[in-house]
Parts: sequence; structure tokens; C-alpha cells
Amino acid sequence: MKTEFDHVAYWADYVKKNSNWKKIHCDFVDSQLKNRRRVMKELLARKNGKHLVVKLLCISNIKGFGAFLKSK
Amino acid sequence: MKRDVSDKGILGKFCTDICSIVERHCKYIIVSGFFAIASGRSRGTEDIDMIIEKLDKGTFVIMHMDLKKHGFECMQTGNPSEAYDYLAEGSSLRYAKAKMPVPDMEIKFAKDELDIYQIINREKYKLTGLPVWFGPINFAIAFKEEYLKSDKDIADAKHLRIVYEDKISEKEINRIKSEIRRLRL
Repeated sequence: MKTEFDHVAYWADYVKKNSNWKKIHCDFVDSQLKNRRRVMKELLARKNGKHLVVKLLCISNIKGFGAFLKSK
Repeated sequence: MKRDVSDKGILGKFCTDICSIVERHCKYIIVSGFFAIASGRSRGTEDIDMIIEKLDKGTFVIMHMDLKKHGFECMQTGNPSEAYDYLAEGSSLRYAKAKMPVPDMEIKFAKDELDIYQIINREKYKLTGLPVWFGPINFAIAFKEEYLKSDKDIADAKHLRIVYEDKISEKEINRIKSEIRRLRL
């Protein structure tokens, strides 16, 4: 069975040899960020959601992120 | 060739935007996980690590206000003087877009000669497609293998060793590892 390190080596080799890696890679990395952003937006739409988002993102500067925290 | 958000990705665009502002005020380097990710390592992250040269309070406040003017906020405090005190005592500051604080940039002052070495020897890497400064590749590998050592970091180092094979110097990696043992362990 292939280990995680085998997959790391396989992908690194692909990056080295194929110029089209960037698009595949960006889509993958971006999808995780988009998912995280979606979860934050969904939490903000909930009752008491602002409190949860502030806690999850460790935001102390509430005023600075006021517009984001009020968004739904 | 002009690049846009689509070929940099969300993280790459965020990193480029914030680096272009920080660069006006001081020397910086991007280190750790995002170096590997920008070089093609297939894993996610929500924060990027940046080391900047030590600044006096006045210069830092001007940089903070410049970041704010361009839509970035410090997640810990909106008070630039207080933010400086965080950095000066060795803590890191996290900056993010005020309208969407995912991802964020974690900024630290250079704390010892290892950090200063990285800033002096910083490089831009064509493979990343990003116009930003990264720490030297041999240092990144040595630091992940000798100091950080988690499975994620060892996998990052393995990836970097393959994609930058022609830039790797085992002699240099071993020299840096011994400096890490002397200064950090």
C-alpha cells in the first residue's frame, strides 16, 4: 500500500515535470478556503453566530472586523 | 505577463497584496508552510507566516496604517501602538482583510541570527509564480527537518527537496541544522 509520503513524492514529481500543475493545485487549495469562508458566513447567519466566529478566528479587534461580523 | 487572481489562487493573491504593502516599509520573508504550498505542495492552510526585520515604533505605525488604508486589519488590536508592543515582546500579529478574515498573515519580528540570515539571503522563486520574497530553500528544508519535525513539516521538506532538486545543497542544509541546534534547541 502506498504511504502518504509516496503520494507527496508522486505529486512533487508531477509539479516538476508538468507546467499545468498550478491550475489543479490552486483549485484544490482554494476549495478549502472557500469552504472555511462558507462555514463562517453560515455561522454569522445563526443566532449567537458572531460570538462563535469571533472565538473561532480569535478576533479581539471587533471594531476592525465590524462589517464582516455584521454581514449575513 | 500580467497575472490575475485565477492563476495565483486566493492565498497567492492575498500574499502578493499584503507583501506589496509591507515591502514599502521593511524587508520581509515568507516562511514555513506557504513556501511549500506556493511551490505546489498539495495541502491547505489558512495562514501565511511572515518574518520582518525589526522596526522602530514610528516606522511600524506607518506600515500598520498603510495596511489599514488598503483594507487590512490587525486581528488582535486596532491600536497600532499596542500592536507594536505585541511584536516587540516577541508575539506575532495576524493581519487579514477586514471584510473577510480568512486567510490571514501572521507577522513576527526577526528574533535571532537565524531569522536575520534568512532575510539577508531571501529569494524569489519562479516556480511559485509569485513576486514575493521567501526564505532560502536550504534553510526551509533544514528548519522543517531539524526543528519543526511534524509529519506535515517532514512531508513539506520532502516536497521541497524534489521540486527544488537543482538548488539543494546538503552541505548547506547540514550547516544550518547545526546552527539551529546551537541557537534554538
